Amino acid sequence: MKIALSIPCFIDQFYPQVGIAAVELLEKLNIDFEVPKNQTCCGQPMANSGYEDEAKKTYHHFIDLFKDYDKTVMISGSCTHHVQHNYTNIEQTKDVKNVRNNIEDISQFLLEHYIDEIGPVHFPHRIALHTGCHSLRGQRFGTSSELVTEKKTGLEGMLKHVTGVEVVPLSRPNECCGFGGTFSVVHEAISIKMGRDKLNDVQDKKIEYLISNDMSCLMHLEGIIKKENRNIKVAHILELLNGSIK
Amino acid sequence: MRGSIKDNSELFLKNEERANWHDKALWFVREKRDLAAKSVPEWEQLREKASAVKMHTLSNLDRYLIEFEENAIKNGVKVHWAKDGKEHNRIIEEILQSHQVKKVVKSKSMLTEECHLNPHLESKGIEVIDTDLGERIIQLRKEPPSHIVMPAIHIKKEEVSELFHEKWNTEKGNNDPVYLTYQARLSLRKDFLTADAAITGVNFAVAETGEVVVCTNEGNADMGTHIAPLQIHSMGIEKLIPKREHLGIFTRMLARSATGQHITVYTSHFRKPKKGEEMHIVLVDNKRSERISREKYWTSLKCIRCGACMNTCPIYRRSGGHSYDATIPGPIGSILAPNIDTEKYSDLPFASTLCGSCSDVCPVKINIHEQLFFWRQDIGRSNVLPKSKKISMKIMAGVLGNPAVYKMFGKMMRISLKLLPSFVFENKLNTWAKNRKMMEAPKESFQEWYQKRKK
Amino acid sequence: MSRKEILENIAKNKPSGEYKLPDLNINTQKGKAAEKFEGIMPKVSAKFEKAKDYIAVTEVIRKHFSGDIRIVNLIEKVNIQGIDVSKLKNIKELDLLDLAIIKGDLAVAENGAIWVSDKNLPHRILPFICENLILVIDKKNIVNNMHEAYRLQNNLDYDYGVFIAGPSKTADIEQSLVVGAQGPRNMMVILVENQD
Repeated sequence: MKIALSIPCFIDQFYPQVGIAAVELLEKLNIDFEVPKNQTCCGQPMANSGYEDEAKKTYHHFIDLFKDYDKTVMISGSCTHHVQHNYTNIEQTKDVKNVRNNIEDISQFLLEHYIDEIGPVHFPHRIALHTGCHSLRGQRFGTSSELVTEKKTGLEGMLKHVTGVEVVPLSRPNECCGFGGTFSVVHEAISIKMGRDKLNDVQDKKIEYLISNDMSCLMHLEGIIKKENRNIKVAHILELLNGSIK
Repeated sequence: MRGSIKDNSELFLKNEERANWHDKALWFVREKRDLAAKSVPEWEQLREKASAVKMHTLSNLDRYLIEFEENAIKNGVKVHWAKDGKEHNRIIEEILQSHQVKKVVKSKSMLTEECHLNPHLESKGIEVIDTDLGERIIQLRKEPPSHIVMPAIHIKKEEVSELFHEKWNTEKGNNDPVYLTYQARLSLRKDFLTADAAITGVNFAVAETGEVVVCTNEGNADMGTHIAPLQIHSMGIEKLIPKREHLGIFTRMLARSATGQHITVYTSHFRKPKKGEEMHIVLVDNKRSERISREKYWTSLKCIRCGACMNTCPIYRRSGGHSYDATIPGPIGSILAPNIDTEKYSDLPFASTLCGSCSDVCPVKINIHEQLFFWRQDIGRSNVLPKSKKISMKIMAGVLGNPAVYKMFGKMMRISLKLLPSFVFENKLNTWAKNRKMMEAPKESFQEWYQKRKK
Repeated sequence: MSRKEILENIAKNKPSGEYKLPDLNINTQKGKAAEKFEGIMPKVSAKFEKAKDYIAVTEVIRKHFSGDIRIVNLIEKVNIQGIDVSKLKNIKELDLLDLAIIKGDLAVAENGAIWVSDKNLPHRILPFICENLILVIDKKNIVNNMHEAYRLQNNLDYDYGVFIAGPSKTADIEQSLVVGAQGPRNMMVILVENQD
């Protein structure tokens, strides 16, 4: 199986350590993969703003990079969701269908196939988990609190071989963090309020680390944490599993 | 002029304590909903069935409307058809005038809000009393509802106390909800006993039997219709369901979704008029027959107006219903309003993080967050968004569609920490960083690290 | 005429796909209907009493309601004298009626709702205009859920009918539950265990 690692633009530019953790983890697991050159973005920021037609060039570029792989693992549930669900305004060629059908959030991919080969990792901290909304409700990575179905494991399942960790449930299971892409700027006041509410809950529960499978949520939350000098750290689940949290 | 949700919500959030209070009140309802839904292990199956019944009915709506009309007429009911709000109001006015009606008691109906019935009747000299307590409160305050099930959820008990003191001379400073509710009961009882006609909305209409079903907790729809000599039920044409047995599905879900009750206190089935008196049903289109043609949006007609999407919505809870400045607020309102006037309500589909909680909570499985995304594209393609936004998108598309340009900009950005965010975030760097610290610039991008390492 | 226009628009615009009416095979929970029904009574703010027969029903009511009060009793087997509603000139005279005693046709275990129809109601307003409402239900008429209720109700002929689950209530002021909105301020359900 030919596997490609896909890097979202914000991880490439702001959080390279998350991409590095992904590479190191995949290597430790002896997974044969490539990182195609010249990656840019999935085009979600434009489409979320109502300009999916302007995103077509970006979509085609994305397809061109990943069309020859059997599997594309992406370090973001949200970008994965965008490719899966919203690449509908370009011609649905064999290549497009292949990429859309075979892209997967790396967290979900690892949980499904490799979780027993990861670790053990010792992480003696109080943490809270935040599953990105698109992973949760778009890819059913875990079970959203609205549904009345048997609980499916998601992000918490990735801690299977993590020792010493204490997972503290948040008061409002899977309430959105308030990022929402361009929403975070267009509706800045609500976005900040949502972020603060989540962080207040984290702080009240004396949680040290907020761990997510989506760095974009954490980018927004970390911005607020640093601005307000809050004593909370954020990290991607891959960093935790790779043992590379500083 | 309609205010934008952006400006309105910013104003709402200025009073943080009140915003927190509002958010908590609604989250409490969402939690009650969860408990009620989870008491029904077959909940997801009910959602499937409810959705399928609605889809079936809507795709055969003309047939079912004719069947409904036939049966209603057989029951001795007078059936009227209104193509829009104006005609609806005129029909109601005519019925009322022909009975020399001076005073109407009305029970909750989002449709009459949509048609602006109250101001119309008042302009014709007919007194209208809203009889649901929440509706009565906002009517006395001369405000629209801020929520479709809990219209006065934005108002504090102290304010209700002030209001009742001013209008009805109740005890000043008595903020006890029990006392206030009792005072409203006394006042409304007089209205029920003196009204010449009663108007209600409709939750479900059954084609097979020609009956309409109205759900309330206060008993106000029944107090109105059974005392007044004339009863009128206004309904949107999408309220139809084929058979009585389908009520089983919907009555199990409506109250559980809306308030977390297992059923509303009253689920009233009106089939025939009271002996010797008149019963009218007004079927209202108001662009529904147009909306049904829209491939991406017609399923929004499945909505049973439970309000669960509002209670769960993190944006609604922190903005208040009035911030939407539309008849129906919240996620469902944001996909309904652009059907009525795309330009006027073009900001609403953007007031969402697309988290999808609304779609998962919806008892009839409307893909609300997906429709929000579709509306964004339709609005983007039309010419209602500012040109400047389109230009910045074009530049962004140029950057993201071209790896060389992306790399160059990325590098510059990490040096200056200004450029990429200004594209990603609509040239509004300041807005991103107003309450957030800017991301720290790493020495090299991931891709630079990776290429170097490979060598 | 709008009727024609609306129907034509729908015929032209309705979705063309085939959307089948689903079957109603739903995996519902069954059993212990009477216990479940009793258990839900406090949740709908209804008082609950059991009586072995209608003589006992009369006793229960007399125990709770006595003195000079205005009563309408619509159940023949309950031996309580009240206002003769057939002699009412105007239903508005029923305002501030202290007590109405009414027979329910069926009751639903999952939510505490009781079906009352104008088969048992000379005036539709009776279960609403009274300050206190007593609904009497035979144990054999308790069903598990709303699906079963509507299946049974299908055989009942009515011009008007209502499911009633508790006294009228509201939470419109700050989500505080207040019992006694526009309808009855108290409700009691009496379950008759030995039917005839």
